[in-house]
Amino acid sequence: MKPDVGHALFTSIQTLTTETAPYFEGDYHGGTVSSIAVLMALLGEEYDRAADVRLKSNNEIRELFAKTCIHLTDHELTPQLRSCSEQAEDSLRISELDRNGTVLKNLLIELHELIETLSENWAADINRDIWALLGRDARRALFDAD
Amino acid sequence: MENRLKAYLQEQITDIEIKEIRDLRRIHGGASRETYRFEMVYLDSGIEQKRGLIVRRDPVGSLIDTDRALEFVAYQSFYDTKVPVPMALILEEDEKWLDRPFFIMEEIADCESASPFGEPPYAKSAKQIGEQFWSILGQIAARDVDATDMPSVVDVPQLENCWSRELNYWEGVINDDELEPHPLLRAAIRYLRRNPPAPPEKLSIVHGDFRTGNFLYDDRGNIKAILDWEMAHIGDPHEDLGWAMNELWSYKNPQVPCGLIDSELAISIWEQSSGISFNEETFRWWKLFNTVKGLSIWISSAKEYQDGKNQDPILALSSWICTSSHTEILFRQLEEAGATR
Repeated sequence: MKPDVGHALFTSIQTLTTETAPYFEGDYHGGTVSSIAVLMALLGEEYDRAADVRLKSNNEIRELFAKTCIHLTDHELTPQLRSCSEQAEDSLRISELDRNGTVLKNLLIELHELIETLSENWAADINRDIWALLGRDARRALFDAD
Repeated sequence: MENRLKAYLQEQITDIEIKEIRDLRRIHGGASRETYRFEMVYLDSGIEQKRGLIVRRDPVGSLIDTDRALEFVAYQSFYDTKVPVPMALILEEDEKWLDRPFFIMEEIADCESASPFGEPPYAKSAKQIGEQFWSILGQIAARDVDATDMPSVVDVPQLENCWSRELNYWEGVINDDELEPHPLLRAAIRYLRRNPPAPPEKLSIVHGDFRTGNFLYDDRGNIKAILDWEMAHIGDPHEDLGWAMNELWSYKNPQVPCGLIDSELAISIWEQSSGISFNEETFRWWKLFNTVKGLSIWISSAKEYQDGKNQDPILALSSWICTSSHTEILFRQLEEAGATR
């Protein structure tokens, strides 16, 4: 899609901040216009990275589930973990990635809770993997402005 | 709105004649209520006078769901003490006057508040403002809870339940409002429950949102008013320290929380002013808790915005950028606490 989404947003932000906002200086609406400009800057960044961030997160959770199933062979969570780990994205629409991400993250919460109660060495390994994954997710979600 | 305010104030204040409500305009003043400033022009014994006032009206949707009576009583609890607050004048619960409940308080003129984001705002006044800031927080902690009306509007927890009351409340907010699952946040909550803090020495009034952006100061570097008491409650005084020292409003320098003075000096001023001993372990728990609380607030703001109850772009902004910042801060805090090993 041309012009680029990021460029269109950037140009609009410039118009808002240099042409529109000054009309409202010191006014409540001036603050609102500035907030919308910042919101648009974040939208530009999110537009570019949204699919990448979600795809990486979903795939890493699936890999973790697959690794867990090697050890957690007979638990009520096992069938769900296995099923999720065998799936792959068939669409890169953000809504689809989000829908799958919600299922995966809910299951990850259940798995993490369970792993925290286990004392085996493999469970400690999985626990470390979960934390590493959570750390990567947290860093990936940061905006440039953070 | 001017005419409705005039009619309301005239009914409330019968010994003066209100001539006019002038220069009414909405201002940014905390995300939980709509805030307007105006000038009330009136005749007192035949002499024309004017007074700057603030009206805080309940919104349709907001960042934080709070009771306006609580905020009103919190202001009253510190009026005429070493904690500077505007005089809270009238609380009105009847929706017939301005469509929604509201309260009116005096305006503190010729002051500014700083944004908690961007560049550190205080420049040469940072030391002077910082010393006042941490001393005032100590005074809030030192205030005798029973000498105020706060126990009539909020729960009074047992000393040993201060932490669980707060954690339960904010976990409840997450349960009610989250639009997507948050595995890191849930892990943090489990960690906090497994590692509770020691009970506080005493119960204190907790401001609940004591940070840069929520106080007014003049151009001589004097703090003139502590604002935004909508999350005030009774609890552990370390809670406010943990919130005020949160990295999110430390301008990327956690050693200088709120962009004011070094954290060690801040703590020593707070100890002296409050008469309460600083407990490092307890403080760490509340610091971590406050990052969880921050995330709960951003989650709640996302819900309000998505549901269309409140379309203020600040809600979308805070739910994006504050969520991402606070999530990363939360991870590092858990790492430092040894939770991720």
